[in-house]
Amino acid sequence: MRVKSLLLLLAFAGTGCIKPFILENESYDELLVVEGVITNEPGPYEIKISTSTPIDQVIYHAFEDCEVFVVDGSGNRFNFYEFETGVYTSDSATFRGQIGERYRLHITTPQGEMYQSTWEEILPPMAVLDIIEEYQEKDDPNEALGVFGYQFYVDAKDASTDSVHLIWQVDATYEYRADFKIDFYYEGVLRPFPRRDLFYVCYKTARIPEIFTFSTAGQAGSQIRNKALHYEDTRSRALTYNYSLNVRQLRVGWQAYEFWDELKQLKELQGEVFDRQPFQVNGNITNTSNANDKALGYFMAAGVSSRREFFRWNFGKFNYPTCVITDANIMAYSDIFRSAPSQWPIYVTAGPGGVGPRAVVADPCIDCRKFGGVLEKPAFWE
Amino acid sequence: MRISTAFYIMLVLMLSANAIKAQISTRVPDSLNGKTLDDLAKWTEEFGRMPLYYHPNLGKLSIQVESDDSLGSILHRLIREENLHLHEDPRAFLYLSTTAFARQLPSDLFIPKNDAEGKEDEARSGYLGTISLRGGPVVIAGTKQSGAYVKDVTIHGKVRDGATSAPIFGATIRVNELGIGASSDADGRYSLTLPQGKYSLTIRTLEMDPMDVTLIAHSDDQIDFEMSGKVVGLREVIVSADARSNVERPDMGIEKLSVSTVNEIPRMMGEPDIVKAALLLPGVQSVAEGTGQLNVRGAPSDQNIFYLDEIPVYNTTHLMGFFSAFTPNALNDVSIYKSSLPSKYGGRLSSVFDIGTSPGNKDQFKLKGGISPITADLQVEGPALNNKLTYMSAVRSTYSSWVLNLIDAPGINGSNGAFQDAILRFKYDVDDKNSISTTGYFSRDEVQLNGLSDFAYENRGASVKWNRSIRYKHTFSLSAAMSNYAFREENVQTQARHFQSNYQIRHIEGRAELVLRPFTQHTVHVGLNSIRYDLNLGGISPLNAESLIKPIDFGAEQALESGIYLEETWTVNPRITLKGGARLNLYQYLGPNSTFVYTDPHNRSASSISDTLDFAKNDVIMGSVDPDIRISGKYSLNELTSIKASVSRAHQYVNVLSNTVTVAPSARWKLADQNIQPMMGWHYSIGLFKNIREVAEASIELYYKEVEQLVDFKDGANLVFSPFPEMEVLQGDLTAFGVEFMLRKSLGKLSGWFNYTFARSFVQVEGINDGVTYPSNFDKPHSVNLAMHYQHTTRMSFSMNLVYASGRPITYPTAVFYQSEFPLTYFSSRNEFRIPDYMRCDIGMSLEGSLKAKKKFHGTWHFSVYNLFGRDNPFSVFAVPEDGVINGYQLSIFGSPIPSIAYQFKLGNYAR
Repeated sequence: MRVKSLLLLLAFAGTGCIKPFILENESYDELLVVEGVITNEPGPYEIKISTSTPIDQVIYHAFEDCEVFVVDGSGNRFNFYEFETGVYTSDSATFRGQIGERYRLHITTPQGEMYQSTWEEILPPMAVLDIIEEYQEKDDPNEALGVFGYQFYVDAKDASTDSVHLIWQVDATYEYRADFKIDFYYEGVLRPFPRRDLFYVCYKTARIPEIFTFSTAGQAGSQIRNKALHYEDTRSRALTYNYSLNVRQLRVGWQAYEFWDELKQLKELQGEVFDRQPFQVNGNITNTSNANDKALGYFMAAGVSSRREFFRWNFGKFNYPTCVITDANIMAYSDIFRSAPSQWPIYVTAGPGGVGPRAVVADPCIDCRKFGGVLEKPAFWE
Repeated sequence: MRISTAFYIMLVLMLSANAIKAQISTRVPDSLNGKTLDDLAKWTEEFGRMPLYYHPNLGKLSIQVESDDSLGSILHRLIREENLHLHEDPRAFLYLSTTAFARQLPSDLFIPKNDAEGKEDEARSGYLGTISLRGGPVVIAGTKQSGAYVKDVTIHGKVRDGATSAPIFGATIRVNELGIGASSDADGRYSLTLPQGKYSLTIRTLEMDPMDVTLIAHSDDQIDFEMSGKVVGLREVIVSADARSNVERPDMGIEKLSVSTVNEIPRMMGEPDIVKAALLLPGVQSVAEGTGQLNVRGAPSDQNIFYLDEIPVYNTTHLMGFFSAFTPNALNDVSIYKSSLPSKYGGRLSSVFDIGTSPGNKDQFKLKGGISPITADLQVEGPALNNKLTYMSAVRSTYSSWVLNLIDAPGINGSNGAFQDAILRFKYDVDDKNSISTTGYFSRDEVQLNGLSDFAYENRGASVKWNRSIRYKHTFSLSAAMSNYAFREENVQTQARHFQSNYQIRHIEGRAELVLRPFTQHTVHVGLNSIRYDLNLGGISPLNAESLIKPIDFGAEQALESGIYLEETWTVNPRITLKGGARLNLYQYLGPNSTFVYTDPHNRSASSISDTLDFAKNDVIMGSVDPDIRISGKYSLNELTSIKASVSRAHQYVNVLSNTVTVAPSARWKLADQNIQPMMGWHYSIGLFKNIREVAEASIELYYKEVEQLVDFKDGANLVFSPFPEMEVLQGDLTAFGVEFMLRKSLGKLSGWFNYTFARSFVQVEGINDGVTYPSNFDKPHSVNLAMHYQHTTRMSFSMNLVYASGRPITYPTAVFYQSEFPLTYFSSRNEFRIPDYMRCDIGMSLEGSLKAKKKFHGTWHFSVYNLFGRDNPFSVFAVPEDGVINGYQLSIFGSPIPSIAYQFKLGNYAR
């Protein structure tokens, strides 16, 4: 029973509350973290090695100078090379994962600690049938009118009657635009900007920061219908133009599924009355030279299938913050002539049509890259 | 023979020299002609139990019996010829005296003996002749004639509330000269065997004035005691049967709460809650606020059992733990056994909560009820069938649906929660030796959580019990009880995976017990009981045609748990009392069923299944014969101080499957089988008990307990969907120890109690936490409770609670690591940290209506503020990755003061 009992309890009491709490951090031990997957897709494959950090320092801390290799069930060894700090890459010319083959990861750290994974087998992939969007409105205590957006689902099917355990990696790519185009720029002299929409249209790709898992164990057949993915709402610019999802579906073994499913459950814990108690999620990496040392993460082997779909939002109701030109922005224009060279170039806009008063606005209003996107249109873009 | 504090008044008013009633018209046989008065007295006693009292000097008087002479004629002739006086009292006792009888009370009748010495006047000496009074009322058991050849005398009867005639459970009758005593059972019955002689008895009980009685014990007899209520201001906030019995009885770890005590405690949302009030007692904890489970001396809540008039109740909570599932007005009291459980209770390691319902009023129809912010309740009781039958019925229901509909908040709209409960009890006194009582119980919860799930759960139970008194000395009881707990859920949380699940446990129990009092200082309990468990483990099935859920049938389990027991209490001398018991348990896990055999019984998983065994109906899949022991003793250092020690060993064959902080209503129970072994526990305790000038008592108890084969969940266990729970749990050891200090004051305008408990509780299971010992969820080293009640006036009283407890252990996030490009939290060892300490202050005020005795309607207002200072005690602490950082949050159930008003009413004005 997944009981949102708190809602009822608080309703009766009318006094419940959730407030920030400073977590103690006295028993922190730095642990090796491994992440990587060998698939049936062409390589190269990446193994990322990092270390854990204290909870008040949420940074990715790469771990370099390790010796990394993978062996298959026949004893063949495939070396990985560190081209980027903490990222170890295979040679695609010599190593490609095979369905039905099993693999084991070996790591030796500069300090001589030796780690290895369990054997992991690449299972036949399961086809992604469709990715579906559904218009949904949701309540939100911070939004008087509620929240509007798309709830995405995935359908998949496999002819096998065996239980299938899946993990999805969902990458969203969308086109968005700055609020204003650049009409002039100032570098000691005010000049017309050569291409006023240069920083106007961007494309942003990001991994959806959620864990999606599913197992057909406990259901009839291996069909998956309307498995919920993420919810994208109109409080960002993501749905303003084209929106694309690339769903990468990994069929993994039961242990790998459990690892990710347990991480997902822990991520969803809200301290509820009937929440499961949290616990340590241990992966499949062990230190063969020191049994008391723990390592985190999971080295997977997976049969992968992917599908990309494009979506358009036709319902309006956008609720993201936008820039407007105020008197202060117009007055700021006169100040650019007294600016220091260190502040150059300074971009100037003349409003949406380019015929209004000249104004200086904040960079994100005029340069779409400031929202994290890039100017280059992706090759797959429609 | 019936005695009350008004005995003398009644007696004197009704004495009359000419009050020879119809029974005295009985014909006397001619064979008594020429015999002595002694012979006549012997005959009168044998015929119709009409004792005849006279001075021994008169015994040799000769009597003349003529043809068809009546007893009255003979006695009149005797009076006339010998110049005697004859009187009959309301009990039809006859008194012959050479002097006139008193027609009013002696002025110094209630003066203690020392003060009255030398003042015995003619009225007194003439009143009872051979009886010299000593303080309280005099009661005569039997007659001299019938006791001529006996050595030991057994008196028996009932202890009742004088105002309501309700039997009083737990009253103690102490023979001050011998240092022995007896206590009354749930029907108010007691039995006491002692040598012939004259004794002073003290009867003490919950909420009543102590009663001193002089007993002249000639021969076996029935004596009922009617206790009068304490004067207002002294009657409330008493948690044990009485202070002195706490010092004198050999048992340890027994607490008692009466419903009137609970009524005076500040209330949460206006609801008096007898079970949650137990949290104010030492050694009783809860994992967190707002939950229904109690943890007694560091043990899981499934090691407690709740009996309501013999009905076992498997879910004692409403609304997932907010309230207790017992109709408040229907209850009388709860006795909590924390250690040295009586031998008649098997099957639980930690505690027994024995909840008694109100027996019903024997005298007249009564009605009372109450209204709180979320519930209303009503109770009726009264006599029928010429007062041989008493009935009591109480119902309670919420109007929480209406309350929730008023709340306009996301997540609440469309949600609902409601509950009802009811108790019905009948008691039929067949004759003065036999009685039959029956109780029915029902509770139900229905909860709708918008967009998530709808679920309901309910208890249904019934019991019937026959009590028989054997020669007014021994008692025999035969009872049967049935309890059924069922849970059902419809879950719509995940699209295309809508499912419904259900679960049910049925407990049918039969019990026979014989209580023997063969000698003055020995009481023996011997009995047997048998429990049949039928668990429908339920299953998962698709809720609609669109659901892809595959039906899963978790199957069924059944078992038989039987036990025979023998327990003796031996009062060696006034200083030493020993109690020893032995219980032999026979457990049989029965077919039909299919079970797995694992290659590694300690690491059960799908991959380690080596065989599947099928069993037919009633095949014994697993059997176990396990002896239990109970030993306790008391040594009195003096009249007010004693030390006690106890050791007990018990077995438990059923446990709840849960990996949540508090046990959810959906949690399934699981029987011990060939893979999950029965739990076994030892409990040792020693204590010092002291009374302080009869107004207060203090005690300190140390305990140490061990549980083997404790069931705990594996990391990440899925106990909801797994059809094979043995794969989700492991078994290990629990060790708990602690010391409990209690100080309570029962008398005076200011009464209440204070207690401090130091307690630890640890678990060690191979396969969990790398095999390293970890604190249990309910390991709270320090707890302090202060409960006070101040009777300001006869109509107005105030109360206050102060509660402190160490924070419970919790598993914290300790590190961050990255997978799939986003940060995740890594958690500490199990229960490595603690949430902040818990503190709370509650206040309450009760305002009675007019105390006029003759009124048609009486009401009482209860004003309470729960969590007066609005301290946001954390229920839990959790971490959420947000915008690239891990933020910690604490959840509080009651983060601000909760004021409430409740109103209780009754027709007429009476004590309860």
